[in-house]
Amino acid sequence: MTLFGDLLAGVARRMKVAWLIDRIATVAVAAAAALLAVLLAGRWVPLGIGEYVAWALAGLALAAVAARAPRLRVTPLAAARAADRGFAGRDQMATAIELSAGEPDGEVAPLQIDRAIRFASGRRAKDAVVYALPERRAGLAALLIVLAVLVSVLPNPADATVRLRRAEAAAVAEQQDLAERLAEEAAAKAATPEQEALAERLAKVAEELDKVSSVDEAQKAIDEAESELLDQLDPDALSKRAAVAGLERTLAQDPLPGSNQGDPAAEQLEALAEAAPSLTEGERREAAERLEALARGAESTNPELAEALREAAANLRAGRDASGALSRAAALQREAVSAAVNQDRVATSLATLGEMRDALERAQAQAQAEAAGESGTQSQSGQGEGEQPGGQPGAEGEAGQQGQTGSEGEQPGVGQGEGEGEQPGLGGQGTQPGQGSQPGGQPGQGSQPGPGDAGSTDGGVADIPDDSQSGQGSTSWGYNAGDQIRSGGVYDPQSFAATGERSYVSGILGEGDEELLPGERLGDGDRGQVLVPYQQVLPAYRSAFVRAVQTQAIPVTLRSLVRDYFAALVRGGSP
Amino acid sequence: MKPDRCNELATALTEQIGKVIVGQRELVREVLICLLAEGHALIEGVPGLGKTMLLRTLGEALTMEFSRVQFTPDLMPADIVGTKVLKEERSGRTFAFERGPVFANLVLADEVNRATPKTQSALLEAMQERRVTVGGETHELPRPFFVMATQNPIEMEGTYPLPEAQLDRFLLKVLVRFPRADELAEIVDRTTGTHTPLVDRVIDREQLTDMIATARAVPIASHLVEYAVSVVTATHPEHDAAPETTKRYVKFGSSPRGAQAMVLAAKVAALLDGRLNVSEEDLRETATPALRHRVILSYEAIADGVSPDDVLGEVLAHTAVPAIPVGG
Repeated sequence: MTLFGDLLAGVARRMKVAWLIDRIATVAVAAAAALLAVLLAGRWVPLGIGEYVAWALAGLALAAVAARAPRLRVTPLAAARAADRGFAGRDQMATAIELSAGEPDGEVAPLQIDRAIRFASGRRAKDAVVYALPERRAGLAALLIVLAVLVSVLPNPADATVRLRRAEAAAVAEQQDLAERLAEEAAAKAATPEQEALAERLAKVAEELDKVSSVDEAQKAIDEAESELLDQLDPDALSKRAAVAGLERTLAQDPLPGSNQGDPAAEQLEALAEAAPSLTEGERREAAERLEALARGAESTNPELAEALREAAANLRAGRDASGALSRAAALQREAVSAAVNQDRVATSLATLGEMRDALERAQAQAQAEAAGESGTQSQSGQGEGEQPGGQPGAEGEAGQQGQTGSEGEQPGVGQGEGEGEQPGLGGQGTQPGQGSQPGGQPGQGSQPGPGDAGSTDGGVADIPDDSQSGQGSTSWGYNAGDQIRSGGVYDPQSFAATGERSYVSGILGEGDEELLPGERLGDGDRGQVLVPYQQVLPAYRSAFVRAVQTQAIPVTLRSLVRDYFAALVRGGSP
Repeated sequence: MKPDRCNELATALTEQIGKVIVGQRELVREVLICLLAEGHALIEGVPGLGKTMLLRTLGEALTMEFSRVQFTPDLMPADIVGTKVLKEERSGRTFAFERGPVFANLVLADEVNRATPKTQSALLEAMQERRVTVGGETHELPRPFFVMATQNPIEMEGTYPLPEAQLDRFLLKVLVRFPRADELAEIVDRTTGTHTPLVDRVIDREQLTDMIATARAVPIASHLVEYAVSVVTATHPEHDAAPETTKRYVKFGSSPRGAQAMVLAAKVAALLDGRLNVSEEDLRETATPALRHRVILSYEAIADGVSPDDVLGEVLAHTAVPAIPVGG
């Protein structure tokens, strides 16, 4: 049994508590100082959860100290020394402990131990170790903690940025999920190398979105993907698709000899090739007429197919073997169908990417509004009529496109669109020439009124005819094919980049960080007073282009030009 | 000998000394510490403070051989340790060793710094070795053996200050302070009357030997030994733990004998106080007299009027007993 067992055990316990008090006072000062520093820094630098982490770390530091106290090892000798000090024992207990641990020899050592035992008898541990709060450190720690609490409670201007980042991260995550689903669906449906490549590109978008956390970065990733997909987009895809669908629908309703209703066109052509040798003269003539009619329909969109069909028709009329030409025609039709599907998917993907970017912009605008204090103001996005996001120049109403397109593999449905409203001129410049003609010989009708101030488009309003034969609808945008686009009238951001000048378009005034030209007047709802950098509205314009390509809103003769324009802008080159 | 008995004898001896010596409790206590530690004392003080009187009284109170040597420049080593003299005997003339005054239990070397270094060396060798060699013959000195040397810090002309190596042989260097006014009045009263105080012999040689053994048996805790070592280490200017004063004013720090002297003196101090173990306070009490003659100051210290006691005061203020170990 250890000398002074109970007394020293009590002293040891109290030493641990005293140690804990002392250490906590020290750690509390350090932790509170660090915490306050972090909290103060967090008022300038948005730390997000950093402030909570700082609180947690400060708490953990104190908890760690508290957890260590019970595990402290206080030897009997250490306790005896503390007791000697507390009782003013002049080291006799510690000496006795050491003597008792060995073999006390001589006459003095046993006497010393006895005397130490008598000295310790009746003494209490609490008299040996008196708890004393280190007042200076405790006071300092308390002051720092109070300050830290105050700093935490007071509104933090950086919180708005933190909320904005969180909101943006959430929006990006949402769009990343969407991109993943889109990529998975594309991969599941991919039947051609082009479709597989498309699926891979979409997967890459999803992967890039997974790595970014801000809307700007996400938009950049989306922009790059859009640029690549825009390069793949055939400006004539819609007309070709309509032609393909028209051929399919025609033959499905009125099959070629040797085929049944509903059979695909390519199969009917192959079936005709097989049945041709056994056809009667009348049947061959009838088949030749059908093929010539089909060739006329395909003339403008697929000349090769038209040529193959004419050759087959000629062979049939001449009683020659038409199987080769028919087989070639069947193969061309298959290719056309496949290409149409590819284009559909590219266009769909582009539309989805555009929607994703729009969603990101909306989320960013909303987050910015909320971060600005939920004051109900309209920020830079300004919610222009027509719900144009992000500083969309003040377009009143949408271009009013309503249309139905046939589902994949089917003939495009009835296109019907009403254009009402105005489309601002690009860069606030110029006037779009009006009154166009349908390139396919189908005259477009109507003009779209263009009351836009900052340069309106004189367009036309036209019903898109249901041209079941050609599948071509006329655009609601009038364009005189004979007019030439003046290159000087097209916005070229690079021309401004060289001088550092910025280009603006007018929009509806909101509240927020509008950029104003010197001397411009702020007025709620004043159109044309708010000038938005063109780069901010470019994505919206590009999305409109993608939608327009799908809905025939752009004249055929201008599609390549418009596509190249936007593709070049995305790439950063000069259009 | 039981410690209590030891304490009683020491108290009785102090009382006998007190019959003659007025005040000077510190001086008496430190001399007794040297006595019970069987160490030599160097007592320094201006003339007339009772140094010699104290030691003579001590000799009278102890039933032991006591000799007094007045050191002078012409004092020869043989005058201290003895010499061989030619003796006439029946068998003829033979050389016989004639013991000098050093052959006593208590030797009072009065004004030791007035003798030549050669003579000082003879005494100091005897102090260290507790034996003398004359004519190729070694003669053991009686035990216990004490040398109580005095020196005068003034009137240094014609003196031979003890070399540092020889100073190291003294257990303590005791400074004699000037008595307080009331003490001085008492001294005058006692020494100008007709009454001559008689000192009783209260301790014999055997008792003193036992007391010395008892004092050595007083235990000391390990952390206090570490503390003594720390104090001595802190007197070395090249040591990291040395305070700034040490680094600035000390040329050489204490020898290891300093730590030994501290501990041994502390043991006696504890015993004189009736305790059976050394305490931190004992070490603090004995540190200065045990180390002041072992610390060699630099010229800068002399120029600045810094004394060894000043340096040791700083050392003690900056050196703490090793902390109580509390580990995880």
